[in-house]
Amino acid sequence: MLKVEHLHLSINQNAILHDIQFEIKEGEIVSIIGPNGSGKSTILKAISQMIPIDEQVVFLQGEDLYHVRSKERSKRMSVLFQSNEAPHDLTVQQLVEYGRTPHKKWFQTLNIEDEEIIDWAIEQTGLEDFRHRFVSSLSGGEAQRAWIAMSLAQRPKILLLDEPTTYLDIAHQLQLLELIHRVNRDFGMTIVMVLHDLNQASLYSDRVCMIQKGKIVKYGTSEEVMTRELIRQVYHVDCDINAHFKHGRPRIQWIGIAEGD
Amino acid sequence: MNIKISPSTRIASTSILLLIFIVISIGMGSVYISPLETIQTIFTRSEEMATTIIWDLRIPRVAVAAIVGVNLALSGALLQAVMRNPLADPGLTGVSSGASVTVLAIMLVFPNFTSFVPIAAMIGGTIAVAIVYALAWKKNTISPVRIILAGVAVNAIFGGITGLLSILYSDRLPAALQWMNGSLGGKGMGDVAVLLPYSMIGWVLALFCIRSANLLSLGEKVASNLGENTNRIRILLSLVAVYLAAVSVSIVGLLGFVGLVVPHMARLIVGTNYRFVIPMSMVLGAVVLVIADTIGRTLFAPLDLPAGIIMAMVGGPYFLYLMRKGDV
Repeated sequence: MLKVEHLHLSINQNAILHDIQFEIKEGEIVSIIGPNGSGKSTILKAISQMIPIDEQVVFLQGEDLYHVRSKERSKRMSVLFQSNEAPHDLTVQQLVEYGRTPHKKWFQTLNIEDEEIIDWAIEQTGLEDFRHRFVSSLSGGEAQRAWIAMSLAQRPKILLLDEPTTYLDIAHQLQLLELIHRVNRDFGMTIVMVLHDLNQASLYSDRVCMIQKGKIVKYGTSEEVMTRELIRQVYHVDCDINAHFKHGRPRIQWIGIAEGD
Repeated sequence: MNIKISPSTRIASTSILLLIFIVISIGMGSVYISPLETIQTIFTRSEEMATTIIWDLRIPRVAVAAIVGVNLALSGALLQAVMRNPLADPGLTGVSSGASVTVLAIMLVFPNFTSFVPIAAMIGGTIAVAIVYALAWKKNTISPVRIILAGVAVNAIFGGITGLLSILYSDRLPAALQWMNGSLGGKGMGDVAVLLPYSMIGWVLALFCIRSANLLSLGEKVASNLGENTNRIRILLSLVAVYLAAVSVSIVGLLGFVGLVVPHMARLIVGTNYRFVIPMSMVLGAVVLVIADTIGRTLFAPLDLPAGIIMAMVGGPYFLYLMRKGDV
């Protein structure tokens, strides 16, 4: 589905990303984890062509994204970054309608199919009751769901999310991750998300990509990535790892900052 | 407001208000003509004296005020969309002063080439906006804060050049002075004939900008995610804004605050959707400048105060009020 080959990136002579390579299969949920400033969000920006990158680096369904028109790209790929701000009087319905933009020429208006997709996106995100409310009047969790609804209305094959749970309380975090999981399971939408919480990454992803200082340290299943050694190496934190009593996925118990190295 | 009135209805009622103001304004002046008489004279041309006053003096002036008001308000609305900043207007970004410097240079240094004034204004405005963008361009994006800072610098530079030109060519200055102040005095049908076609092109272009302006209002990253080339649409919208401002500057000189205040008023009335902000700014821009000019020429009659001075005196405090309220 998505392949990244030899992604290098420097901004003002500072190397931000170094030889990033990975492949994401169709229908997978992949989490990108790593300490602050390790380049996680930058990878999403590079994949979504928000930062100019070279040819032959990012391939979407086998096609070099460098040569794909941005409008064509956004029919197949949606990317949502943190802390979006809508105009204060924009309703949920209007925001979700914008998700249809890539599928429309500038003079076209929404047709029945668009309306159905918009209804579907609002339903999936559980925002039926908020449809005509202003996005700016919603709580953090509801607003985040409204933005995801906009991304869903794009009907992308792959959805990139930059720290979708940041700033949310635990109930809204889990609600959002369940939503992402359901969209992935029911509609086969491939998901790539940057997460901070290692336990959530472990629980909700098919594979995890661990980044440190712009390099991939490990890319594999939760079991392969969530090890005491790697976490100590990347985060300088000691932890214990056991299996989650319900899902069997690795569960990390923090002990403390690692002493010495 | 509890009663639900659709934005389209609000725009339509403001348009009717505009027509009323225009008729009243045409009647105002050293010879007062009642609104009814004004309408009669416009359509029948019955009474010679009134016909001359209305058609040769009043209508051209009111028409110039209305057209320039539309242009400046649109220019401000587009710049605000591009920069996602309610402070952006042709004056603040240096577009107006860029346009006025080149126009002034022609008026003072090359008075034989006055037919090139509109082109010179466009060139000056484009240079200004190009400098603003060159300074504001960082890390592959245009940062709104840097645009505003760059605008301050550009205004200072062009203000300096204007000052220099005025001193070096002080003997020729009186002719240019009225123009520099944003005065609508002494405008004839000839000015309208130049202004109107150029402006109408700009209005049509502005209507084509609505979609892009709306997408930009969701933020750089979201617009880009939705398949827009954000830097390209910013440049296109800016060029339309420069064009509209330059056309106005070349006829009436520096006229501030219309581009700042009018789009803001429009948003208060019809919300933030550019589908309504753009048409509402057009109508309100005309209303505001027609009123400002009418006040200017009647308040201390026979003294003719430039509309630019009225706009600065009313627009400045309005702007302070907005800042105090926290909307800006």
